[in-house]
Parts: sequence; structure tokens; C-alpha cells
Amino acid sequence: MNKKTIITSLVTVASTALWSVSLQAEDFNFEDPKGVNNVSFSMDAPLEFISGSANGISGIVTFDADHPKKTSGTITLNTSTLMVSNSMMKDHMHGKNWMDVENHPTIEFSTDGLSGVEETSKGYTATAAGTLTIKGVSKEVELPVTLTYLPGKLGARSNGRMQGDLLVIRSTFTVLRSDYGINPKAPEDKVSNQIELKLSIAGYAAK
Amino acid sequence: MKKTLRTLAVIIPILGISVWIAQGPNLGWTKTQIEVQKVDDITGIEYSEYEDRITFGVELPVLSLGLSALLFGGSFLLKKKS
Repeated sequence: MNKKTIITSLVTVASTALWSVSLQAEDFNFEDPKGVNNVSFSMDAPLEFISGSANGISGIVTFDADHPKKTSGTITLNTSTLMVSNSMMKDHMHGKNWMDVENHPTIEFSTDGLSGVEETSKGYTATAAGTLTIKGVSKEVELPVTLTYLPGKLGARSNGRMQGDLLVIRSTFTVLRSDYGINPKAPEDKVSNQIELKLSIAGYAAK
Repeated sequence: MKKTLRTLAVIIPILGISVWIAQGPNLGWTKTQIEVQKVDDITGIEYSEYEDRITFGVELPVLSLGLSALLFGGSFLLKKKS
């Protein structure tokens, strides 16, 4: 084996290795046909506790189990799926003063990467810095997230119809109603200015 | 008639408050749906499903007491049978 052959072989092996690493990044689709993906919200005011949820989640997140720091993507919530336990209250919430669902049909969060990634027994904890857009107002935020990578679990979740991996993302964070123009004039003793949001979503990457 | 109104004035709040307590005294407004918590087996995600079911709120005891007061008050406006 001459020197040229050895170098060519090494270059080929290195290229293949790099190519396989780049292939490990997967695009996870968060549009869940089971309707399980959800964001729950609660507002704890002195006179009233309001809670509800929404399940109209979609979006794509790119995740590489070997490089979780490079996780990026966009998650979108369809605001018309926001629900509370009282139909009249739901209509008010969808109305112009509150979420103005007609003119602002989505809430969106996008991130270009994670920081402070730590591996835990269940996956990774990290901070996702990105842009959160609610009711047309965009703000730079940092959200604490946990990621759980479930390789090969798509088959079990889809009753064998598809094969692939799952990525579960969870985040609990607080936004201020007044920051996003959500009826800022509403009295805070009845409707808290702080909205606690709990995101629990699973995306799939079919193979 | 006067006796009927007064009887209703006693029965209505008893019924209203009894139904409200029996459903679990909901201190908020009336709910037209109830939230049922479920867990996805594979991902462990907790999610809510909503079922159409009425859970009376504070309106029920308040309205039944109000109606009772009206009936009781109205009974004094009726003339005695001669």
C-alpha cells in the first residue's frame, strides 16, 4: 500500500464519518395527529383563577442527539384552539380585547440554538433563546427547556404505521399579559398579569 | 296562592344549593365543559380533553336565593282570600 492510497483512504474514512454525523440531525415534525401536544396556561389572580389549554401545535425542530446545542426550529400554536371550561369565557378570550384570534391566528416561538445544555437521566435540560410572538408582538426571550430523545419509539406511538424517532420538549415559563397587549386594561385582581405557560409537545422524525 | 309562593320560596333555594353542593361546590362561574387530564403512554405528556358537561357555578345558589326572595316578597303583595 503506497502513501497516496493511505492518504486517500484516510480522507475517505474522515469524509464518511463527517457525513454520517451530519446525517444524525433529524427534522422533527410537531404536528401531532393524536392531538396530545399541548400548551396549558394559568392565571392566578386574587379573585379568580383561570386555566385552560390549547392543542393546535405545529412546527419543525432540527435535533441532533450528538449535538443538542445545535437544536433549532419553530413551534407554532393555532390560537383558535385555546380552550377554557366555560364557552362564554372562551369566546371572550378569542375576542379582540384578549387574544384577537381572527387577526392573530398564531403564537410562534423560534430558536437558533440552545445554551447551558446539561445531560440528565431523562435527556437534556437547556435554555432556548429565541423570539416569542404573541398577538403580533415579538420579544426576545429565554425559555428553560427539557428535551427527551426517544429513538425508535415512533412505531409504538403510531401502532406500527410509521417507524422513526420521537423528541419530547417540555418548558414551563411565564409571560406578562401587558407585554403582549393582551387586554392590558383588565383589572389584575380578577385576571393576573402573569400567565404561566406549560408546553408539552412531542415531535416525530419518520425513517 | 300565597302559600304556594312561600313554599316555592323555601324549595327553590334548597334545591339550588343542594344541586350546587352535590356537584362539588364550584366557587367559579358555571362551566359548560369539564377538563379531563390524560397521559400519553409513550411520551408521558399530560394533556387535557374537554367533555361537554355542565358544572354549576356560584350563579346557581345566588340566583336561587334571589328568586326565593322575589317569591317570598311577592307573596306579601297578594291579597288575602276573603
